[in-house]
Amino acid sequence: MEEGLDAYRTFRREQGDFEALFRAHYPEIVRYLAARLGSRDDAHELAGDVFAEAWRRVPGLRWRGRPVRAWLYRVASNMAADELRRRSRLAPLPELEVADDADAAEDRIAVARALAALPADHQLVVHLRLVEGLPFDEVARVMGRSVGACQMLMLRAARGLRASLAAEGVRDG
Amino acid sequence: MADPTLARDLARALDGEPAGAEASELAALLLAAAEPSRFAVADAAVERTLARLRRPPRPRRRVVPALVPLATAAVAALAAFVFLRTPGSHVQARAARAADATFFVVEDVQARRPGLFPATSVSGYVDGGRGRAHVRIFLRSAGAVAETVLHEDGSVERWLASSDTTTFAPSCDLLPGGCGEVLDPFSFYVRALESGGAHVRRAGGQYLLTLGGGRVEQVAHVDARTYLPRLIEWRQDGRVVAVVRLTSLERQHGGLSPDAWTMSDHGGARVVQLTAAGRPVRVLGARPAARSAVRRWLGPSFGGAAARVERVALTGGSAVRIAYGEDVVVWNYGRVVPPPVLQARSLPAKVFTAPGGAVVHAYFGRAGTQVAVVAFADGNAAVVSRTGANDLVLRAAQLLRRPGSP
Repeated sequence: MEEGLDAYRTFRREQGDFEALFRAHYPEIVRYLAARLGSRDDAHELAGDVFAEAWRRVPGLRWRGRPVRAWLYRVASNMAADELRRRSRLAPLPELEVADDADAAEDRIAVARALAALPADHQLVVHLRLVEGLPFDEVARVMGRSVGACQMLMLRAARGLRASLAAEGVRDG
Repeated sequence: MADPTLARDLARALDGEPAGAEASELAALLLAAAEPSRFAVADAAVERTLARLRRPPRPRRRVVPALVPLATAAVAALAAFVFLRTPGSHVQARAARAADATFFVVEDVQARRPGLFPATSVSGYVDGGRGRAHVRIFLRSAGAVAETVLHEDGSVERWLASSDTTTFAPSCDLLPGGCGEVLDPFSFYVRALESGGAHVRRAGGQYLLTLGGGRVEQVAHVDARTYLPRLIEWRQDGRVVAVVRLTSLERQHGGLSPDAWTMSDHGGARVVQLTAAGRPVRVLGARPAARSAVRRWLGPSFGGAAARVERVALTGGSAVRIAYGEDVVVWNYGRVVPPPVLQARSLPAKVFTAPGGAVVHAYFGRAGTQVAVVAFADGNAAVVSRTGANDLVLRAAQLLRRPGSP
C-alpha cells in the first residue's frame, strides 16, 4: 500500500514539474529511440518531440496505477513506429552507428539490426531491463504487465534475436 | 524445459545468478545486443533540448474573478481558522501562502444512504493566484459527465455530456447552475467556515471541525500536520448523509502546461456562445472598415491577395475581419469570439509559443479547417483557413503584427 502511495506521489510530482520529469527521463528515452531508429541524432530529435508532447499532455493524465514514465515510453514507441513507417516509404534505413573494426563491427551491426527488428514490446523489455537496469517488477509497472509476462517477453526477445542472427550466419555470444 | 520455467531461469541468468545452459546462452546474447545502447547522454544535450522546449511564462494578471479563488481560499480559510485556534502560529503568512497556489484536487462524493445519489468524482486544477480552474465531473457508472474551464478573465467554458454541448460564457452567472462543480464542495465548506460557529477538537493526528448546526451540519477531518482537509461528512439529524473524500489535494510546485487550463477535445460537440446578456452570439452584419480598425494583421497583402477589412457586428459585441482572398481570414476580437473561430475551437488543439511569447492555440479540423488563435495583451487575433497547407496558419500566426510594423 505504501509502495502504491509512493508511486502515486511520484506520478503527481512528475506531472507538476516538467523540468524534473525531463531531466529524469530524457536520457533513457534517447537511448531507447537510438536502438529503435539506429541513429543517436535522430533519437535526440524525436525525444525532443516526445517531451514536447509530454509538456502538453502530462498535466492532464489521470492516475491509473502506472508511472508517467510508462506514458513517455508509449509515446516514444508510437513516434518511433511512425518515423520508421515514414522512412520505409522514403528511403532505405540508415546504416547503424557502430564505430569499430572489421568482423566485430559487422557482428555488432547485425546484432543491433536484429534487435531493432524485434517487435516493439520485445525491444522495450530488453531496453528497460538490460539498458536501464530496472528490476523486473519495475519493468512490469512501466509496461503495465505482470512480472511473469515480462519475463516471457524477454525469453521471446532472446529467441527472436537468436533466430535472426542464425539466419544471418552470425555466431552469438 | 517449459517456457515459463525457462523465462524465470533466463531472468535469474540476467541477474547474474546460476542458471541452466540455455538460459545462460540466451542471457549472453541479450546482454551483447543491449550493450551498444548503454551510452551516456551528455548533460549539455539535456539542457539544450530543455531550453528549446521551455516556454516563457505568461504574465501574471491581477484581474481575479470573484468566485474562483474561493476554492483555494478554502485551504487558506481552513488554515487560518485552525491556526487562529493554535497559539503561536503565523496565521496570516500561512493562509496567504496556502491561497496563492495551484492545487490539484480530487474529490469523491458518496451518499451514505443507498440510492440517494450516484457516487461522483470531481477532479482538476484550481489556481487561486490567477483565478482559474479546470475540473471534470465523473459518474462511476457513466464516465465523464461534465467539464468546466474557468479562465483568468472570468469567462467560462462548460461541456455537458448529456447534451454533448460546449457552452462559452463571459461569466459563471450566465450558466444554468453557475460554476458549482468548480467550487463545491469546497465552496460550501468555506462559506460554512466563514459563517463561524465551528467547533474544533483534536482527534489523534487530525482536527475535527464541526460546522453549521440545527438539522444539517458538516464535520471536516483536517490533517493536523498539513492543515488540509481530507474528508468532509455531511450530516442530517446526526446521521451521515454523504461523505466527500479529498483523495488528492496537492499544491503544484512546477509550472503547468497551458493545456492544464484548456478544455479537452470533445469533437463533434455542439458549440454555443453566450453574450453578457446570456443570448447566443450571432453575426448581425458586416460593413467595410478603414485600416485604422485593425489591431493585428498579416500586412496589406498576404499570399498575393490584398487585405479586405470589414467590421463585423456580433450579438453582444463586434470584431474586425481581414480577408486575404477567399481562403485566409484574420479576425481581431475581444471577449466575444466570432462564430467561425468559435466553431473551430472544439477541434483537437496544439499549443505553442510564438516569437515574443504570445501563446498560440492551433486547431486542426478533419475537413481541412485550420485556426490559430493568438492571445495578445491588447486583444485576440485568429487566423482561419479552410483549405490551406498544413502549416499555413501556424506560419501566419507568427507573422501577425500591428499595421505599420515591418
